[in-house]
Amino acid sequence: MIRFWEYELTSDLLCIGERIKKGLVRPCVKTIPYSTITGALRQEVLGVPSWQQVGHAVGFLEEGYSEVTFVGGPQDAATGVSKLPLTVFALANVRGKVFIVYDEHTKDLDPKLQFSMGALKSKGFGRVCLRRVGERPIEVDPDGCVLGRLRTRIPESLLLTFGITPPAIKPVYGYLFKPTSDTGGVWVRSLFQGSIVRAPALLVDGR
Amino acid sequence: MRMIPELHDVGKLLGLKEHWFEDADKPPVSEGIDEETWLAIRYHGHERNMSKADQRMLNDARRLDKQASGPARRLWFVSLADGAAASVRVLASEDRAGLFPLGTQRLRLWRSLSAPKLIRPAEAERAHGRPTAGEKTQLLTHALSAKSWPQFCGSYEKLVNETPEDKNPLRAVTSLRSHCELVGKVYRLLDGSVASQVGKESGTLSLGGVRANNLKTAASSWSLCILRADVDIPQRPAHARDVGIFPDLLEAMSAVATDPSYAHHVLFTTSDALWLVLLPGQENRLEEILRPILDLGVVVNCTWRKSDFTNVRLPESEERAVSDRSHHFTVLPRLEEKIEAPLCEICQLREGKPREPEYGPGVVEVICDACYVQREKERFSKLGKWDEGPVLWCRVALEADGLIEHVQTLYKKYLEGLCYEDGSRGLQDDKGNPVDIGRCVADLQPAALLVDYTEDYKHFLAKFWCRTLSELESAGVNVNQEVEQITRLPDGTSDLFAVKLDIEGIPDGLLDVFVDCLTEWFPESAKRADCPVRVGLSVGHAKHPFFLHWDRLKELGRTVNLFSPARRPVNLSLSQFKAVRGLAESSEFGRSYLHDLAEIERRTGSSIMVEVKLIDDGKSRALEALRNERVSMADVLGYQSVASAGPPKEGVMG
Repeated sequence: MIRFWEYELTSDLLCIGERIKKGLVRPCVKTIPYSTITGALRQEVLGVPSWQQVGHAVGFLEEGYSEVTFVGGPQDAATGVSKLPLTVFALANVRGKVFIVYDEHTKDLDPKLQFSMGALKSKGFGRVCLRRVGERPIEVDPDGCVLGRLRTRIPESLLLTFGITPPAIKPVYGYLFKPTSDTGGVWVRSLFQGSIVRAPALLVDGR
Repeated sequence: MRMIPELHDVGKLLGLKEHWFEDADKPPVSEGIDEETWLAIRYHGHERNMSKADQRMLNDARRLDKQASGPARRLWFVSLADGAAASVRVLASEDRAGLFPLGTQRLRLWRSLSAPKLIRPAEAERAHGRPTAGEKTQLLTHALSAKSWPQFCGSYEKLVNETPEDKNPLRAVTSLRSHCELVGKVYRLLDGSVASQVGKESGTLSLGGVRANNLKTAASSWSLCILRADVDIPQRPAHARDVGIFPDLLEAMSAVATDPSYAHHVLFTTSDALWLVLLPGQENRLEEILRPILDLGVVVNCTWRKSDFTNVRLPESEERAVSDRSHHFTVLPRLEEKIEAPLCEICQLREGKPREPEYGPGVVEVICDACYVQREKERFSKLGKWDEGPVLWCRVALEADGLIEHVQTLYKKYLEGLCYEDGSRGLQDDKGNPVDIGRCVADLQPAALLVDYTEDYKHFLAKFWCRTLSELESAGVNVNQEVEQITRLPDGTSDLFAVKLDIEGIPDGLLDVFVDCLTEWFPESAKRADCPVRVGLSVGHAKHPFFLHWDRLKELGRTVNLFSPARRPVNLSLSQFKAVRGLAESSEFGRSYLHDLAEIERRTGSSIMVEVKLIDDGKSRALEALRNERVSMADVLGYQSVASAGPPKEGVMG
């Protein structure tokens, strides 16, 4: 039996950037990848470095947000002028769900969590508020998994942690960054949203 | 000379009921006459309605010799292939429902579901008559002296394309050409896979370890597998110049379909799927067949179905298949579990290496070897120069998933609409009893029907492409400078291309061209919400990352799909699209009024309050569209924004 804390996420402005180098347009991810929410949970809530294997979480966004763009750009330190206009996509009025694996490290989490995650935090983006749903963690029976499209991004090596039966039936692969120290990390093969998997109903769109 | 199995049904070109020269004698043997093809023509047919003498001759012709290697072996293969490639299960009990009149061309169900009136089986002799000896001899001489099927088709092109597989209403929906070519493919696969085993009096044939000493046993105990291989492109190129994977994929799919070693496995192809036939023992060949495609680093999702030769089933839609895992699997490119070095900036799936500065000092790109090869080809010179203004990406596709269900629905509607010369309606057997239409649909073996569908799709695409260029030219677009073909099909057309626009918004003319061409080539399909021919148009700034366009364009959910960054996507069936367009362009509906309606719809979660407001405001003309086509005001608003897009909602970052 796997247990999760279920939290409702709200954010006025969230920008979890797609990994894209150069270019003048920076799109954003429309889910909450494991790497983003777990990193924030470890650093901002549990107070441990993001590379320490303590605390695991995933999440996704609900429909209803609006997509907005902002134009700015890296400024010249001396002149304060942006040489190239950079268009950044972000999501406004965001609601979503976050599921934190219930274990000895997370059993005493506050019912209300507030922290920042994603890109452009220094510009005020990414302030999120998590409110816990229910007093007790949800219990998920791996035998009660359903077939559906995954709503988040999870490293393949952690599928069982979230009650997902490997291998995926129709995988959509990508790579997520896994920090291994304060300054470095590796890219790990991961299942992306849209993969068809057998998973707890709360992590998939039913078919 | 070896048998040309495609010619087995050549008698059908006479346009009559009989087609296998039942009462014909062996033609005089002379130089250039192919005796084995004669056997295929004379003895491929079924046993029903044969005289005892004829039955004896048929059995003799099909009896295997001691080595099981003579002409009887090949006669088995042509008979088995004929059954597998028929549009209806062999010996379907309803195939005595009547016949279409002499001269009836094959019926394209996607163009019209109405058919000529049926003649009762008892009157077929009177209506069809019999071919003259001269007609038969002339056709046979041409067929038996042909060196190959393509050579024969050169002389009978139109007739082969337009003659139906049968005058029987159950089979008149496929072209003789598609049927014969499928027979040729399955025949050659069998010839390459079936082992002959020596026997005392007569040998046996064995496929996948299953032995058979007569044709009936072979048909019911040997199996074949039809597999649909859907190609998914996992690469996420951001820059337009890096989209070389698309032409490469097209080239690779074409290479598989035309490679002499694999061509017989390929039944047909749709925009991003191959439909393959595999015999027992050939499962391991799949990776070999797909190698040119897999080498591009794409993912191939396979859905398969196994059946015997008496009732060939095709794989179901992906949704149904994935729920039964045993009929679905994925062939992956090599994807490392862990990558220590930086990821490739183009595909984001492989280890990247820093490359020479391309745009001058200080710029280093991290690109994997495979993507670097693509980059070096520099195929899209125009795209690279488009720095400013909007660019429209257009994809036209024949969606593989749901295609079978779509043709099954058309087939059912067609059968339900059939009537007889005497005015009676509904399909009846030779005794006048109603035929179970559901059973007829279950007996459909749609491979040949799908081949015909894809052939018409190619014609549709050629027309669409040609008219699109004219439309763009007349709208002032310099097609030599401002249209980039990402894919280039063998006939020079394209199903994925980009257009540099002067103003934001999807040009109306382009949508008109699609609607016109679709209505011309697939009018019956176009009426249905599951129409598999679809268009996707995504418009954004020239520097908008390509993969965001592709995320939307790769799965076209409805017939018309319109996208623009930071705007609500619009996915509509053709009739919904027409209704939405009518409302969006009406002077009655300004943008702020539409916003109000969409907000009411969103708040209440239903269209009832929208209807009330429309009635209150005296705009009840819109009610028809709302009720009949089930369009939402959000769709109307979405269409209005995308079709005449201004800049997206924008802020300024300090």
